[in-house]
Amino acid sequence: MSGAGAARGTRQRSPEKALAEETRFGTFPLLRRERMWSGLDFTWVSSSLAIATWAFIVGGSTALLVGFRDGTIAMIIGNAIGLCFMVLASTAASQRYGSEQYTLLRGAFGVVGVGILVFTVILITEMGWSSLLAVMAGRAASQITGEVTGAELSQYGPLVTVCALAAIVLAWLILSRGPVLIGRLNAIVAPGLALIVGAMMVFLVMNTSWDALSAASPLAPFEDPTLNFMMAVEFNVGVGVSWYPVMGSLARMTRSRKAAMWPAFGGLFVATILAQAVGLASALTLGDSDPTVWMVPFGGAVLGVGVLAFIAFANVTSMASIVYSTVLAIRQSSGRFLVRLPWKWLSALFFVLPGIMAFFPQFMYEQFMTFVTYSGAFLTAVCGVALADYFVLRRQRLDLRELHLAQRGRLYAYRGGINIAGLGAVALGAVFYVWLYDPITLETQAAFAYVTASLPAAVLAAVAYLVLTAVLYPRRPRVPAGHADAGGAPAGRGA
Amino acid sequence: MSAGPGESHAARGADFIAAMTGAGMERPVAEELERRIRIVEEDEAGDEARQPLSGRELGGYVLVTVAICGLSALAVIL
Repeated sequence: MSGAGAARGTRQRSPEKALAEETRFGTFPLLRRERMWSGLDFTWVSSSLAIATWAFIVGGSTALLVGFRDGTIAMIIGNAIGLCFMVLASTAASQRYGSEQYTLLRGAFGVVGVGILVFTVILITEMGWSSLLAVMAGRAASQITGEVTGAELSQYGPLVTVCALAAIVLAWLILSRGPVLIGRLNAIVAPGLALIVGAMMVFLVMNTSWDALSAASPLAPFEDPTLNFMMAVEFNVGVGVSWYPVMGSLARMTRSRKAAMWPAFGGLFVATILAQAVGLASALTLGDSDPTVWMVPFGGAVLGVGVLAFIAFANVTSMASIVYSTVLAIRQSSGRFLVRLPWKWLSALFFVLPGIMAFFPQFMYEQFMTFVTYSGAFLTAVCGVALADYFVLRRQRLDLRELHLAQRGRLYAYRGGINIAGLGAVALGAVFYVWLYDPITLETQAAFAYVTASLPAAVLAAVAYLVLTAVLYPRRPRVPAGHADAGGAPAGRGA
Repeated sequence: MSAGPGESHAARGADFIAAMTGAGMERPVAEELERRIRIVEEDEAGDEARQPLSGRELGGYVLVTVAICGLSALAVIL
């Protein structure tokens, strides 16, 4: 963390080591020559993240409520809405300033407030996704073992736990080697998964039929078809928003605004829809979205086992990718406590909860939809506040020095390091979301059938943030000195 | 005589480094951070990549999403 409070706890390091660590862990704003990703590069990165195997489970969960046609449309609408505001909230400021997103959020939440968000919403969300990936890798490995040995193994048996734990250890080893290795592995895994997803769709249609797929009924719908459709949309909004914790740290690597915004949206959108459609189709026709269950019977022993092995490995690299960004955020938001810990130990700490969850694989699969929707409730509210802060309150103008000074500065210092307006608005938005649509009881208000829960929750959080800021901090300057609005000369085009 | 812009920027940078080192950050790290911020805010301030999103870009982006949702909703209705 580059904040003053955090820096106090840093151990004495050699100047060279200190500089190398700060560069590696992403604290410094990136300069022109360091921002190397073109639009195509970022599209590839986004697609490789989206096409990970969790997409199968999302498609399968959508099949509980709607059939193939409605399900595909619900996935398109839901992901489009979720990605639209998630991408703007996470990439716009990061791309402009070349800085990771959690430092840029200090104006909206305060330096301690960002830490609170990272250690609650962000950490729980990413631990949940990591647990799911580990269990899925474990199921793939268990299926391979069953095929090779001829033994009948349970889908949620002890071998799944053992293999999930092995996957976590492998992900930790990759993570320990740093982002370069993660990038290299993703460059192999992403195209491989794209090929596999295409082949799976062909397999599904060949082994069933297009008519059967189109006519297949949803697996466990409610009586009201409109409600089923809107719940499917809402679930997919949550999936789109769930990329928020990692996208800003990636977008700062891009060369231009166009290279950040459209590839983040398009890459995630297209790849997600394709992979989810396979999960949706397989769940509707075969009764199970998880390819670890049906790939061997369909693909045969050799092809099936090969594909499963690749899926297991892909889950490990996906885990390493998302955990890298999250551990980076944890390190930078932890103040003086965790900055002393070596990277390896910090990333090992992250995996403790996913390791525990590996002992409950069935729970992870069955509670998946609730988890995604609940994390969506908070992340949409965070996005609403981030958008209101950057686009409305700050008019896209931030002061990097003040952001790094945090409590020692003037613009972004708050009592106790917490911007009450930001955290209060997030709480309000999340509560409003759960009132509109309770992910546990599945009770909904009438308005949910027309406007979903995410969109109004994000809007409410944004409006609440602006109102609370006007009431609680009426005299505080919004933009850096020297800009037109602050009484000085304008800086840069449209600034 | 008042200080020129160069001097005022230098003074601001010096204050920033002093504040960060005073908070415990290693001096080379604080100096590198200040160097980068200065480049972002001054040397690269005119770069196309450092400009804010224009209303047109934002509008186009939101419109694409609205169009995707609208066409999809139409497909459901029809």
